Amino acid sequence: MYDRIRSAFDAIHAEPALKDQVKNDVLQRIRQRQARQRRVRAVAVAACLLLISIVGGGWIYLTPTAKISIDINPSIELGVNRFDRVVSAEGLNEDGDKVLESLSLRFMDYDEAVAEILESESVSTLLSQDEVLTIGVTGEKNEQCERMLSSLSSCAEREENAHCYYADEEAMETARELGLSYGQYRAFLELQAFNPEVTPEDVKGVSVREIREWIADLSGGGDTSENQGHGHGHHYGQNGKNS
Amino acid sequence: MRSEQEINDVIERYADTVCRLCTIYLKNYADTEDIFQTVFLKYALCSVAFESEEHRKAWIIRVTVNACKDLLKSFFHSRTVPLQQLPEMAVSMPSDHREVLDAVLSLPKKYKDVVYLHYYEGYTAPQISRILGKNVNTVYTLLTRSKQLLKEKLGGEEHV
Repeated sequence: MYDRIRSAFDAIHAEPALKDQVKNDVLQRIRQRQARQRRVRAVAVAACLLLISIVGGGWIYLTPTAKISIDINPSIELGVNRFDRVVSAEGLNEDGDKVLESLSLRFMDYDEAVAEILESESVSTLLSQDEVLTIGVTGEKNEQCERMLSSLSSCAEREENAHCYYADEEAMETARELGLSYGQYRAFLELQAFNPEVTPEDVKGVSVREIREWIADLSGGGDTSENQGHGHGHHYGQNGKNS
Repeated sequence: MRSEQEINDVIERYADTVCRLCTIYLKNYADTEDIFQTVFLKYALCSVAFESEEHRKAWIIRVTVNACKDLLKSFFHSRTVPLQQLPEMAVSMPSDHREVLDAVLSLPKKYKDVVYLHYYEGYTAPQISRILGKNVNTVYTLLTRSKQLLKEKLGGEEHV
């Protein structure tokens, strides 16, 4: 029985034509599938690249490569991207926040943004009151910073009490740690040179102009007192002579 | 997805097995073609790692049986022809083979695959139960009953 059944089934073979047809069909389906997968993969890769370029482009566009720090009493810091556009505007004190509330500086050219700030009511009022304005440019020392510095310097020259300078990042960071704007910090350093006992706490909340006046008092003041002394001496002498 | 070489090898090696199973379940050539496509495409696309050639063979048999059953279920009324009719390929066979095949194929449906797997492929009842997903005792019963039926059909003088 086993043998009979076995030889009966042994006689059944798949026809070569059927095998060939199945091979062709299956391989064709596989190739189509592979081609489809390749297409899907290519689309996915393209989508990824697009996403990366959008994210990367956005990142490049939105990353500040330089910062402009504006100090009068309101202290404002503008982040400027590599395309000279303002990508962030931050008030470093309450007055700064107030100035920014009324302005929309995002994506504006930095020189226009600075001009807007200088023209803003509170800043222009302070300027007209002889307050000292400092504009600091921070960033890696490169062509962009130099260009910004020269452009802002010419802008600052139009104002009597405006100073424009290059600020190095480390000093900027220290200033922030001390809770001072960069303008205040610079003025504080100058002040400290004359009076080593001055602490950052002493200049907190003091406007740059006041610190400068303080410096003027100490330096010029030292001179003044000396001059005054001389003057007085002279004066007294003169008085003595006169008397 | 398997390589073209692997797919060609498996078709060469197992085409006859699939063809024999189709003979048991189906009665027309077009359906056999469909089953070939289904089984070997499934093999080409599946990611099962076969431990041995026996494992691969059992997988092919199980997939073929399931594919045949699915086909019968979906096209039962429109596509099947009477059970007694032998497939076209059997027409040119020697009379003894035809007689045996006729006897096997005329068995009730539930016996045929068990008979093929046991008598031709040499699987034991526990192996058949695993391949077909049936209870071992059911397989034993089916084998015993099919032996009796075949004995009746092919002549009681043979030792089964």
